[in-house]
Amino acid sequence: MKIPLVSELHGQTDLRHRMRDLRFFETTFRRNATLTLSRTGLRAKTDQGRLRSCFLAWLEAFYSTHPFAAIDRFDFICFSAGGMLAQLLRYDPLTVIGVGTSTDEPKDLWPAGSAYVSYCLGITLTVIEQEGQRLPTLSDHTDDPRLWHSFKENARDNPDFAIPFIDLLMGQTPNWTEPTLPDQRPAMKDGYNRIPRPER
Amino acid sequence: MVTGPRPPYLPDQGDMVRVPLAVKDGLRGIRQRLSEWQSELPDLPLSGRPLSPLALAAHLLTKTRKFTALGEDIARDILLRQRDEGRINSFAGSGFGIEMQRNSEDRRNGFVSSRYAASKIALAHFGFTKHLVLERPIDTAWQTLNAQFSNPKVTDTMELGRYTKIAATTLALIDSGAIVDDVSPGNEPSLPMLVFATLGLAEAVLVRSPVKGHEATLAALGLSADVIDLRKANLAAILSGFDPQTHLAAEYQLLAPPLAES
Repeated sequence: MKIPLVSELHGQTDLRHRMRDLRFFETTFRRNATLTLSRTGLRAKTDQGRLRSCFLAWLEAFYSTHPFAAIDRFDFICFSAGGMLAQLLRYDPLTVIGVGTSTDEPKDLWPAGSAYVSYCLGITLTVIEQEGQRLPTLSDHTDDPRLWHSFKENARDNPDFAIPFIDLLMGQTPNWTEPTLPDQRPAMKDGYNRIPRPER
Repeated sequence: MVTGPRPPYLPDQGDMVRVPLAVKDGLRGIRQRLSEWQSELPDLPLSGRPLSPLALAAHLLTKTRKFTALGEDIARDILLRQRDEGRINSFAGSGFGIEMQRNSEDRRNGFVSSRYAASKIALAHFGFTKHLVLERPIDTAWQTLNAQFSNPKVTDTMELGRYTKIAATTLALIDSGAIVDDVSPGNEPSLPMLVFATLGLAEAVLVRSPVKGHEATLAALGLSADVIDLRKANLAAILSGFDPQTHLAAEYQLLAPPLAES
């Protein structure tokens, strides 16, 4: 899958904090949409109101779950990325115009969804790299058309399924039953159990 | 036995400040009523119609209104620009979100005039270009808030203290009656709520932002108006719920950092 934002964000510093800046979010989102859909014959038009609503909803959720970063930072980054993808799918700020090619690639199967996923993955991979964490190998299924068809259908029913979808791509164990609850994530549970407790 | 002054009391400095504001508000109200009344008059063509005194008067008034409006536009564009810029420039510095050692009357004047000018800008963002804003209620709100915050506490220097003060300013301005709401539907936040929440968020943004000045203030007001418009439902819930000041302060604390220029 094409993730053009990784090379674009290479020179940026302190991305984890800059992601909480509305203007930075808008600029990078638009840039990613243009790059993802380049050479496809498609054009993306962004609805600013929806994009801002998406950002504000993500930000609210981010701050309410932020304490979980102390338990497992890597897992929390994946969870936040999934949360952002969920809000992008919910508000759907991109309108794709034009006729593309008919291949089995994600950007042709579902251009807007592909732009959302590539944005979230691009940000996540760059943040993880800047944090000095282990860089994950993206799942082999990233370009699997069956996975994308399934994800598109599931996301239409419940956009929050974006969180386990990102987990799947990032190699984390997904939680399909309660995707929005960080304390129910397998990695968080493990992390919580690893915290040393005083003996009674 | 020494007794204090007995009524009628001599006017103090505060009363002397309030008089011109009351006169200005009165004149603005009259001008708006006149413009509404004039716009209701039919623009009758003179040729081929009976020249009744009423038709002539209506025609004269309509023409006068058009020329007056043109004159106002020219004056606003050319002559009053500097005055408006001055008012807007003092927006962030005259609020309660920032600690300043300044002459109190100077600050009071800056607060009233900048909130008036900023309210007009915010109203225009919400599509109300000719809505009446009164300065005297803003001044009354300033007096209440000044008395409330004149006793510095330890928390004032903390971030939450700053947002709490801005939230208190927003609530005082909403309650002041500076903007009369006769247009909002019942289930949405009222126009004063939208406008003064916009001003509050813009102030919170500017207080955090390293970029100051006229353009930055206008940009902050525009962006804040957009965001408040998107958060209408939250705003309505906050203002009609329990302890709106604390929740509004938390809302500003959530929204201001991502909107401030990094």
